[in-house]
Amino acid sequence: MKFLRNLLDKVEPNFTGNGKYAKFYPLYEMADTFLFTPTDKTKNGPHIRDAVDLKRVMSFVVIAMLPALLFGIFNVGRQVNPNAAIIDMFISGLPTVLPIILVSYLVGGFWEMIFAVVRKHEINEGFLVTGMLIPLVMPPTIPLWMVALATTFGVVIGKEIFGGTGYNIFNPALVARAFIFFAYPGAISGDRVWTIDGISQATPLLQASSQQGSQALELLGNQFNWWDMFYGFIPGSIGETSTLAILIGAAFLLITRIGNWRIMAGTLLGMVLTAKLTNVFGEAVASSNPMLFLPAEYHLVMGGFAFGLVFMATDPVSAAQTDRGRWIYGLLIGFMCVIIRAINPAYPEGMMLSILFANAFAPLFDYFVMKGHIKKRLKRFAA
Amino acid sequence: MNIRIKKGHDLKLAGKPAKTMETIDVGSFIKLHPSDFPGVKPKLLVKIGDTLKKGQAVFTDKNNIDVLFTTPAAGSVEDIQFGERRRIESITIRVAENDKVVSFEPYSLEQISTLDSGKVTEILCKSGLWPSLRRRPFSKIAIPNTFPKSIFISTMSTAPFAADLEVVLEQTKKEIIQAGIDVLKFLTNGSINMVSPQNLSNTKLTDLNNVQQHTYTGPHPAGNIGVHVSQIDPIKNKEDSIWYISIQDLISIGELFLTGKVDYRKIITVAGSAISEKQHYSVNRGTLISQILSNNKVEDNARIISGDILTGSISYMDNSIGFYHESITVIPNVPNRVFMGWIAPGFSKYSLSNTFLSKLLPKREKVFTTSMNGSKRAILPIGAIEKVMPLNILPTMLIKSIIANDIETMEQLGIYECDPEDFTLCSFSDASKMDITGIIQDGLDFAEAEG
Repeated sequence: MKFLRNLLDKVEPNFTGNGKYAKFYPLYEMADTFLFTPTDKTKNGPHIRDAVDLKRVMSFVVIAMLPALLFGIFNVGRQVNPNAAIIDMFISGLPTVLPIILVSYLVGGFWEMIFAVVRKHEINEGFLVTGMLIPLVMPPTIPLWMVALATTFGVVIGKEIFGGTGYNIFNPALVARAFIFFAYPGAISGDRVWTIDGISQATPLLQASSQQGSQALELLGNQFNWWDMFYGFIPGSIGETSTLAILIGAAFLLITRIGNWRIMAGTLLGMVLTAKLTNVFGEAVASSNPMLFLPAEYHLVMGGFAFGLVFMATDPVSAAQTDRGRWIYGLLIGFMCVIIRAINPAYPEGMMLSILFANAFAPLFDYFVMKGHIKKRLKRFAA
Repeated sequence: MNIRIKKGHDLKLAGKPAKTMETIDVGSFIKLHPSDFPGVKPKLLVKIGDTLKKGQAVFTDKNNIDVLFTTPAAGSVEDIQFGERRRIESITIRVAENDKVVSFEPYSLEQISTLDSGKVTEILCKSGLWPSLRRRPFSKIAIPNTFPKSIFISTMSTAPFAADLEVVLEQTKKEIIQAGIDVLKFLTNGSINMVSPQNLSNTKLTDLNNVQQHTYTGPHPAGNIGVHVSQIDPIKNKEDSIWYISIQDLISIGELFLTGKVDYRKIITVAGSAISEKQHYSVNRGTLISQILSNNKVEDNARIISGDILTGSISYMDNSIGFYHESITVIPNVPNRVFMGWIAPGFSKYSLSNTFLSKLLPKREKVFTTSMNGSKRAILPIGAIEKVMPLNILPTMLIKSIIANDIETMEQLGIYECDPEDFTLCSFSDASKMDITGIIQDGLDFAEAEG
């Protein structure tokens, strides 16, 4: 450690002032503050600061995603190598998943660096999270060049053109996924998506919506039972299949208070209420739409709902930023997700679009919460 | 009424002051810093070499020529230091061993009640005690001959290392406090409010006349004037005005009217983890910090703060203690660079977040350095600052409106109720390391100029 510190101190002059590589100071700063806590001192009151910083917050979000990632690797391997031992399944998942993560971080990191150098600001830790979120919402069969393209789109259009982390309107990882969804729909939906080495299988959502005139549960039949879907032994995007692994991450985010419980609770509540409503409605009109009959607990474990609820909806920057706004924002996501799943015949997955939709409305919710707050203040003062 | 707040935090810091008290001599030099008074444009009334009586005016405010700033000791003007654009930085006075003093007519308690607001204002201005009355919004010196809707007296701060009320009141008399209150009575048409900690009852503060007694409970900033005002008599707009004063300054005013002499002594605490003798001291105003700490051992590489650790300003040995400050805090000024600190388990880290294992251990008093513990980043609203904001304010929205210079929204969100000191814990706990107190000050400056 002493050696590292000395090395960094030795090369520092190259990156500051008139140094040879002064342009690349953000790179030095990143390495320096990655390895050692920064030297910045307080300049005025308060003269002391909390030990937490954004590096820690962001890396904790990544930690929260680890159970989902590890299970994702295992699950991919399970589909490639269905009869292997558990550890072998895990190992055979690695060659598929690791390159996707690598591409996401390399391409995203590249853009982060370019923008940091041009804008002369530090490299923001926000990308630690985006770089992990992108692979986790990709199907394992995604070509790497598409990952590179999607990451580029997500980081540049989804975040950097707004001014970087903290200024973006939409969740960059979802922008990346939406890009693939609209640009290369064949790669992310359709019934042959989850093909790995010749084995193809429909996702539960696709299965449940596959035939008009039946009910979703009948269509799922014996192929997918609830517990399998809860544990995650189903095809799907890398990180989204295991609701259990995602809930472990959720618990971590809630205990550390990094993830907002109001958003999570709002989303869950919105989903449950809307699912109940569609169930009742489906019965009442004797609908032939199978998805209208999917019970709430199935919505929870199918597709990207749980993953989106825990890791995407809670992105503090693109979510609503007032407590009441967070409830409304969450409720809207849960509502929209079920509606899209049930009513939209072309595409059975609703979580991505519903979160992006709610992202767009989040500032409006905050605006109304703020107006309400102002009105209450005036009322209190009038009394 | 009892003001009970839940949002806030009492920092557990190493270096608490003992309840003992020692008296410090005035020393051979004292200094006055016009920068202690925000918004004051100083106009000198003395030149180098002038001999001064104790209590003689040294400078005045160009905007308010009635308000005089007086020397807390007799002597001669030794030096006047100017900074950029000939701004007066300090006035050094060589203390003389004589008893020449500016004195006023003494009154009995009964006689005080026969005075009027004009007379009271005149005496306070001439004595140099007027600046101890400040106004909200803006926390600047009260404007003579205007009338606030109420006046607040704060008895004890909840900021770290605040002077203990028992120690402060030990050598004073109830009559003096009553005299101070009776004098303030002339300065407002509304009420005078005294707010004390609920768990502390002192007979010198009970059964006082002309004052409404309130109590507070809860963590810091429960003792802040801003919190009390927002509960008792909130500031509704820019034209609204309340005044406030600390109990020590109130005692000085009472003393002045009862004896005709100004007592320039006040009780301060010296505290923090980088100093040896942590206790209360009775000092003369204007006393140099080097004199106050002369029997004290300050560690190398320490930061000396005039005031408390949350709101005070960086100071130096050859400065005097700030006019409004009641503490000198000394903490280590060396950031220790922790290897991979962002992922370390952090058994010994102090954080209001739940991201360190120290959260599971019993809270111990912690040595803080001046390290930012991270780099500055854009706003990441995870709700941490809302947890320590007891005012009825939406802090994230307010901060955004200030950054956007959106004066209308700022006003609607209650900028005039705010003071930077109410936001110090927000600055403390923010993971993005934003200078939230600075932003609030910018907002107030902008609103005062443009609103």
